[in-house]
Amino acid sequence: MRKNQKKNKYFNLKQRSFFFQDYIETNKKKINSNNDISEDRIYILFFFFFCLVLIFSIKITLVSLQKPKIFTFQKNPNSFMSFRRDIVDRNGVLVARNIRSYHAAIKPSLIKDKKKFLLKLKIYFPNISQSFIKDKLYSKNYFYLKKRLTEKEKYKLWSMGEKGIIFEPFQSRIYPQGNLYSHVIGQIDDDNYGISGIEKNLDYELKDIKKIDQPIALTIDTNIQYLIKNELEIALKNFKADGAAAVLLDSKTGEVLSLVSLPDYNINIREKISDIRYINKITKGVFELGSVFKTFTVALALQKQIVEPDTLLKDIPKQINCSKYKISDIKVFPKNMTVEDILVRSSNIGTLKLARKIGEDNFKSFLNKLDLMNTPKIELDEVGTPLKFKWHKCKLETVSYGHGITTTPLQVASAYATLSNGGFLIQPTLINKKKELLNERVISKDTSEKINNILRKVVTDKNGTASLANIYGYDVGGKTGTSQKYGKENENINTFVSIFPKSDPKFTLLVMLDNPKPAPHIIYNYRGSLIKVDRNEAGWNTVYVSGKIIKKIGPILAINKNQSMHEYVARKTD
Amino acid sequence: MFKRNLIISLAIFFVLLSFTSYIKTETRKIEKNILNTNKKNSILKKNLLESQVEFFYLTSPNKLSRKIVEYGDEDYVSIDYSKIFMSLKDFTQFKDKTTKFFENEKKSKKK
Repeated sequence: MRKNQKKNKYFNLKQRSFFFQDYIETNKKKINSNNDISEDRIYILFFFFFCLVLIFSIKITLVSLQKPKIFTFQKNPNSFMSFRRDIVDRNGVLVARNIRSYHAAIKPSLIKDKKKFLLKLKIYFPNISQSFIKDKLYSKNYFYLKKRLTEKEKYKLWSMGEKGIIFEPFQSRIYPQGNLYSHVIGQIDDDNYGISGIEKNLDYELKDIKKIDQPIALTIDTNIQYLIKNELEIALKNFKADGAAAVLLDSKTGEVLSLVSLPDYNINIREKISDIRYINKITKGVFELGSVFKTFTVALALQKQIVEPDTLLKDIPKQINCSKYKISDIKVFPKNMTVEDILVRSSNIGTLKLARKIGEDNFKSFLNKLDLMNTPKIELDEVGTPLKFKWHKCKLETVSYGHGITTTPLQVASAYATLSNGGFLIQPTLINKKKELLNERVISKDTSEKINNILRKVVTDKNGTASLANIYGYDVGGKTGTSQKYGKENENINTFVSIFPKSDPKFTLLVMLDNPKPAPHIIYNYRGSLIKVDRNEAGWNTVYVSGKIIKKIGPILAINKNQSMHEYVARKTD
Repeated sequence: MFKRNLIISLAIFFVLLSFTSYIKTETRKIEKNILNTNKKNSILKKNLLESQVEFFYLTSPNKLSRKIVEYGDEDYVSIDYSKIFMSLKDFTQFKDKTTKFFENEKKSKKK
């Protein structure tokens, strides 16, 4: 016991003190406080290491959570962050993309042997002016040798092994489809700002950094666009026309499947084009399109139940005096014609008589509803506004058959799509997006069906003006329009608007030729006979071209043609 | 008592120190891996973007149709439904019309 007591350093037997008990208590507190300090140290240590571990954990988490793009862009010289979104067609085919390009600049102070450098440059780039380079080289100021280098040029310069050649990176926009989309896509300037077409209209969306990885999808189909362009180019040669244009719309949704305007240009090359022939004829060009307007007059007359397709209009005169004008038909038509016949034969006087029955106010309001009098709405800045006019004496009469009224071909195509799809207004669009369809109806389903039947007869009837567009299996209907160019008596604007398949029209195609000439070298297959014709009406050029286009794009549009095929076979065996 | 605590503290200190250094090294490794992967990724991405541009350029309808004309051995002709005949009678009628047309052409040229 004693031994144990001796061992205990806090238990002193010799001590005689009144405060003995207190002393022990005090020492015990000391012991306890020492223990507490050690524990605290351990806690601090733990806390310290815990903090360290936490810091590293946070770092790892941050590193893994960081967006790789920003991360790599800051640290990785190979990374490339585009300033503009890609543009693709409706099938994902690339139409526009930003890529890294280089300017070649020279820092004369870094070039030791200037003579040798000039000699090398002469060998590699014989087209660059030597005197210019020499002057700049000895002036010792930083200058650009060549802007927008191609891969080959960059490689040549790089292989010269000169320190003084600086490759300045920049972003350039390239268009792999070249001319194909020139009037739709437009161009951008050196500072990446859109200056025309979709590039300008959707400049903000194209630069949206949050969506930079998501391309903007167009409604256009590259293959259809090419086929139509190809046919129009052939037509330009065949008919020696000044220009040609076509637009293909989805009649139900208003999506533009193709928009071609010729002549066009390569959007990869920046050049100033001032020739008016290069405008976008479909959206910017404002034309008097002639007889294609007759369809609107007949449709309104049917909608207002003023007439029926088989209503007979008697005693139609050969000529009518209207104010100071004399209005007549190009051909001699029968005195009595049904409403259907008036449109099939394209009678000016017959249509005029219908318009008088409709009345000016009704007709005006109908044209406004079809959006033919206002500036068209589409995702392009290049849009034309129809010329304003006063509804003075005789205006109703001339407008009823498409004279004295101007509009863009896009508006006419949209109006035809509206009339043929059951009467629902459509909004033409170039952007493939989920959109709400307009449910506003302009004409009833019944009227729409009647109009479609008449348009089909324009193609199939022996008196019709569009027989060359009767393409087997596609049930084409449509209306021709031949009009004189304003102020030029011998120049025409020939148009054909077609809808197909007639049973349930899904597509509207407008083809226009600017100042076409007769093509006596073409052998037309006209209602089973081979003939050569020296005429210049729409029926002999735009209808012919439309037929060729429909024959080519039909299989891509994948129309279910079983029904019409059976009908055709049945008719043939009869 | 104090010594024992000191030893425990030191032991814990060294264990945690080695643990921390291990974590630090691993963090660095992971960070390096991420950097390298990102580098490789960006190179691959750059190559992919360039290849896509080339692909879409070379497979554009314009280029393809030129290539077919240049290298294609077969002459592709689109099927014309007007030349599919349901009976021999239809065929002979069409041929008669064609023959007449070309005969007339010859006559008009002679004149």
